[in-house]
Amino acid sequence: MEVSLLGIPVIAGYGVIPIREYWDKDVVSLAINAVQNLVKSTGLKDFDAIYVGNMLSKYYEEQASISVHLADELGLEDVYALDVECGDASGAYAVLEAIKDVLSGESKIVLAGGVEKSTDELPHRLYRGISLSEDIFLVDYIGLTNLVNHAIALKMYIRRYNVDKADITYLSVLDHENASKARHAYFRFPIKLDTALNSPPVADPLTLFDISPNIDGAAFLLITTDDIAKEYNLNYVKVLGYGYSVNRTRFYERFDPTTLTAAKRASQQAFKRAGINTSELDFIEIHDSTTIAGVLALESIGVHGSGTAAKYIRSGVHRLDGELPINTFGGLKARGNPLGATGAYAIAEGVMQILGEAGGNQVKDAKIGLIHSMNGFDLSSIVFILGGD
Amino acid sequence: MKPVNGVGIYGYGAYVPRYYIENEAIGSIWGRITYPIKNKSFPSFDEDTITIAYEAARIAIESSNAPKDRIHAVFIGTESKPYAVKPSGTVLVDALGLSNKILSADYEFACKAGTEAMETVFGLVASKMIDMGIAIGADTAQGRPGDELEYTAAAGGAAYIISSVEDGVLAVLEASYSYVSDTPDFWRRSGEKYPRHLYRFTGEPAYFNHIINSVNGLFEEYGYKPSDFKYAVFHQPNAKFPQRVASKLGFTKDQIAPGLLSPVIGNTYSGSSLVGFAATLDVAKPGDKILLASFGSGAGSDAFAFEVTELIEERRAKPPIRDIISRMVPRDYATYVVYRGKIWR
Amino acid sequence: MTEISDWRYRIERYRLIGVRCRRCGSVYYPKRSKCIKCGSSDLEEVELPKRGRVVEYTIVRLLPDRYNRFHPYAVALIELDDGTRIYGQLTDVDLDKIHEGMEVEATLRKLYEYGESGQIVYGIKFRPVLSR
Repeated sequence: MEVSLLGIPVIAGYGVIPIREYWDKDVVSLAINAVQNLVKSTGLKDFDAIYVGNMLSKYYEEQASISVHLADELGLEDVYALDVECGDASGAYAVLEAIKDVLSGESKIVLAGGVEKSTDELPHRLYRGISLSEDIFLVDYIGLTNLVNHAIALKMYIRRYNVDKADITYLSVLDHENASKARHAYFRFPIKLDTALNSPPVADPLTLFDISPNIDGAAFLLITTDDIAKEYNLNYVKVLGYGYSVNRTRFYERFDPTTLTAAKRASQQAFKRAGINTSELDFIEIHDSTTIAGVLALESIGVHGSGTAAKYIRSGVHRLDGELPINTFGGLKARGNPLGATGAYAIAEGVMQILGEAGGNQVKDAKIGLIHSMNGFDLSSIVFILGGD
Repeated sequence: MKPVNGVGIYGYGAYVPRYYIENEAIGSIWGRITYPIKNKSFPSFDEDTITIAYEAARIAIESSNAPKDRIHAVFIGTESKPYAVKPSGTVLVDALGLSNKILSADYEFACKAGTEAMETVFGLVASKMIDMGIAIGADTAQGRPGDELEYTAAAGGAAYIISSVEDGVLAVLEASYSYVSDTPDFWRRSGEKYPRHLYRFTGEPAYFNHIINSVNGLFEEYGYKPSDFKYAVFHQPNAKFPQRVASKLGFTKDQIAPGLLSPVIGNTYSGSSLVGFAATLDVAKPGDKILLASFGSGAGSDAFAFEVTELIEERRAKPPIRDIISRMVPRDYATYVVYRGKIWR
Repeated sequence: MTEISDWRYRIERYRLIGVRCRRCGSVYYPKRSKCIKCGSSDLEEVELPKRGRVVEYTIVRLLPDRYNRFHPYAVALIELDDGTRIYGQLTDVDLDKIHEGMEVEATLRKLYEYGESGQIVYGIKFRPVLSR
């Protein structure tokens, strides 16, 4: 566990808004709404620093420096305000910036999270936008989109391990099942596997139900130390460990295309810092921007061996009432994938689980959870291990 | 015109797009039941004159193994420039990896812009101002929906690498003759998408008069007669005109057969006679003489006499144009309309 | 990306110019400044073979801006004749007839345009070979 002279870094509050289409709100308003929820539940409204994860507001709304505008709207002065961009892992990276800030002693109480206003963009621009973490040379040259790597990895994976695609797509069934009970989720209804398998192709062999919806959302966390959290009488979860890494940006130059190497390294670092192993996890939130990404993430963080995760998912061990629940609020597929906010949602959900505030989605005796977030198809990955007191 | 220093064709290549539409498919839209040809080629949505010129030039260079660093001119003859202002040949210079020490320009003379480019390169090489040059005729011609020309306006092109005979040529240019007059049979005003024409006026006073004058001029000035030539290639705006002009000039069906492609690919405009010439070279033997006569509306005709050398065997275009044609697939009128940008998403 | 960056990349896109590591021989496309296999920074520009075969492919159906004027297109993982693997867009192919192992060759095509009055950007796409 990371310990500084100032104490253990903790997450001592969260504020999220339901993931929806917010036609009447702009990106800063969405962030404010999430922060207001955090302020309401923690009673804290002054922060030393704010880190705002966002992927595409510069591109679609053409709004830069969201953190500064958010600080201004929140009436904060003398605050360190920074935008964090790391594709659809931006929110998670913003939280790590906050943790490092607290660990360094520079700041005591930090606001960090993410916000995305995906519905301001029209479909073709959005499909280009969510592909912009890829090398723009390739995006423009060959029409590379974010889904191409997923689709080709899926075909390689099926070929290499002789896996039934239905077992992979089943992850979306699990996600929908969990999201159907989650108030802040986008798709609050269960689906049948047949529906998912027979949905229209989007990047063959990926179909619509293999990919996650990009909509609007904002989620923020309060990062501080255990001592300060206690001082303010706040419930908190500890950041037991974290890790991060990058992968080859060109999928075709990766040494092992069906391993998410960044996720693997990030999780190894996180386990090492936390001093635990996979058997001690009570739940996992994985970045299933597509079903295959989720399956590969489960393997890469070491929960299952290569080529086996889909079968375990299908077997039920990862359902909410299973041995090791995953995506307890529906994951990216069903809770929704508001890009720059997605990682912050996953962390907030982990906090809810450990604090016992997960309502109908509560995992029994959830004490330790792993949160994985990644940029594109493992261009970079970040992992947190959170634990209760 | 006869060059003082011997020049000829070092290599050649021709190309037509993958897609064709049957005349019947066009006719069924407009209620027409007789057609000038059978099929016409049309470009895919990602093709234009530049990409077609590239394909033809690439085949020419690769098939003849031409020394790229000695090519010092690239001229494209076309009536469908992708830009009104911005040269087409510059893209080819960088895409084909030619030397940047090079002349480049687009030529326009309706359907004879390609042979015009060819004549210019012959002159530059014969005068020894440059070692080698590429002349290309390529078009993605457009006919107004429902117009006569919609049945024939097609896409394709051919490229000719020209060098002095000392560098070794597959065909020697023996002589040429050009004939031009102010005859407004067909035109397209600036900013207009589709050309206009004067129907039957494009025949006798334009096509026939100019080709007959250029070929007869060539014959009279240099002492040729039709039987001197193994093959003849004429501009091919439809199936009928080239056959009729051949017979008027005293050529047989056999002489024009290898180069007569308009029935199956349509009129590729600046590419038309040059693609036909490529098809003829694909089958020619050393010692064969070939007559090439283009026609450009407005109007004029360039006539050339070539003699094929033994180098033809090793430098034939790979693949030959008839192989490229045989890979073509039909598409319906709706696809044609979308690919040609007549309706927009 | 603007017309200016398109211009800067034109040679790489027109002719498949990549780099080869002078120390270990690894080839990269597009260019890199450092070899990811052996770490050497001693790389030379090289023109890659224009033929290869499809290893895997997908069909992009959620069309991104710049590639949304026409129907879905295929992006393939292509192994060039020298063994270098690259991504390429396929053209002149029926989407239901693409298969692993399909022989393809490079051709110059229009990529996209900056609107009706803007520039036309060209680059290499791959199509089934015209002949072997």
